[in-house]
Amino acid sequence: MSKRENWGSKLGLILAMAGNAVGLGNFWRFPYQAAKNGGGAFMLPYFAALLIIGIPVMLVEWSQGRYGGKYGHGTIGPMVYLQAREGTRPRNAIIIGSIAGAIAFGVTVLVNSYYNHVIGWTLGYSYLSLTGGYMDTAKSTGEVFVNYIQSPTLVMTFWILALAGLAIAVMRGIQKGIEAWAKLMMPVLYVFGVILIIRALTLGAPVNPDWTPLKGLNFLWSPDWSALTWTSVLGAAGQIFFTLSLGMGIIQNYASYLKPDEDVVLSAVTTVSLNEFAEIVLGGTIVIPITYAFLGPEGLAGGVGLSFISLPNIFRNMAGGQIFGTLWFLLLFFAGFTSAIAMYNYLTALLEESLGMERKKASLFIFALYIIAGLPVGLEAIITKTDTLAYFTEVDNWIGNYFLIVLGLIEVLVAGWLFGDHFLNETNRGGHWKIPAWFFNVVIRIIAPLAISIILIFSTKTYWEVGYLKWIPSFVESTPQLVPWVVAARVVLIGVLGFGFFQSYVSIKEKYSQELRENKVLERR
Amino acid sequence: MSATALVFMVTVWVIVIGVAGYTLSQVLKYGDD
Repeated sequence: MSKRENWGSKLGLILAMAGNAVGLGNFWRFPYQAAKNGGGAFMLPYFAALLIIGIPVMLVEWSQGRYGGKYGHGTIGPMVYLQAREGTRPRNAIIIGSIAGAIAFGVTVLVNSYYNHVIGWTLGYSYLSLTGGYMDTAKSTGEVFVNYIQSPTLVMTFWILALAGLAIAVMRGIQKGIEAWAKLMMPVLYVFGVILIIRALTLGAPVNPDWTPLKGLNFLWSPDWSALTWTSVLGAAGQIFFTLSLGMGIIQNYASYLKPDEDVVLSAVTTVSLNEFAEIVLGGTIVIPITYAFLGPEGLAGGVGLSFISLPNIFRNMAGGQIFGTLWFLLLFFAGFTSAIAMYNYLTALLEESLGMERKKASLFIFALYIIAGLPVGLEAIITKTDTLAYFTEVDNWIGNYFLIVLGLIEVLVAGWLFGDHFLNETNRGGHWKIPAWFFNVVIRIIAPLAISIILIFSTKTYWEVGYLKWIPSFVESTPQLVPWVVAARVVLIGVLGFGFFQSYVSIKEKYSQELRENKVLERR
Repeated sequence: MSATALVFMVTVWVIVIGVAGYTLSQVLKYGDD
């Protein structure tokens, strides 16, 4: 195998990792989750989940990635195997590694299959904002959005453009591609965020004297304890996984390009803190004050539509709306692009590693794969002429929400209990900051896996209660024509996970065949 | 905006911006050594 690349500079690495973590979820999902789950009351479980799940899992993923990179791996199956074999027999470890590999493969293929479309939408809407494409008040912004997702020209053009941008970046490699784009896009994203905050807070009361941006902030930051339920706790924990890009294998992939003695702890904590700045300060202060000022408290219940329906409606009525609309959708595009690139690179690394393919060729192959995987997402609304997006919803419910938590649990259990004490030395090696033994023994080994297990049990219970586990899930009960799309999503899910398991298993077996034959727990060095 | 909400928001902002600024300054301090 050819020598693996490293990051060119520390700042480039941090910006690429922050770009990996900062995604659409920071600006789109967080305000909606916070508003739905009691505003200020949501922030308490959110911070608790950040401290007991987010930071420990982020440390584990950075450490696991650097460790795997030392052995020439950029994918999670072999990484988890390498750590697991120090606490259990290799033939058990390969199963654990293959399950982890299957989930990461599922996430990077399937999450990106719809994530790339959403990025395409943000690019398309940047174009529409700039050209005044939704400014005509004769048509509601809801209709504009439905027309957009049902238009083959618009959907396909901006989707392919976004994908081509990703392909070019990944093709150019870690330093010249991913790092270079992150160094450009991330500072611009933060600057756009600050400009939009200033605009949001200086809107006054354009529609109703009671609807001011500050009242919007009041709504977000006043704890409504009656809205604090198990559902909001689950929402907060899910948000932490989603916002930090945990349980996907992509943090490990980026960390695999670290030099063997490069710092892990300070870099991981910096990634978390830059993500939280983007989420809480920027994400929390753009959408909610703007929406409140124009649409009042009811406007905040918009969910997905908040970005693509409510906000365009506001931009068309706002002074300078075309410019601020463009900034908003470009901000979303940069946030999504720098996360999607990590998933793209994961699969490119997988081909480089398991088939010895060259990066350029592998990148083109993944481009074709994403076209195939993304077609059902793009075609569903065009064919069914509905905006329910059942295929997208089913895939997202499982792989985009549920399996992230399962993979996070596997990672901390392997690091804490199978890799064991060696994890502490491995993580702290070469570090500017070091994690104390008590943090490893109490938080990483006990509290984090316990908290994730509780979240997993209650998520399963919630899925059962809301009817996601039924043969015909609740969200398509009233639209039988969409049932085949749900069935297709399930077939694809099982197929992709099965292939991911097989690929990881074969890849580990080929490289570590001798120790698998001997099947002895590795002696600690 | 109520006093409770304002205090809560400002406290969280100060912590988040402070931690992000401090960690980033540490990364820049150590640079690429």
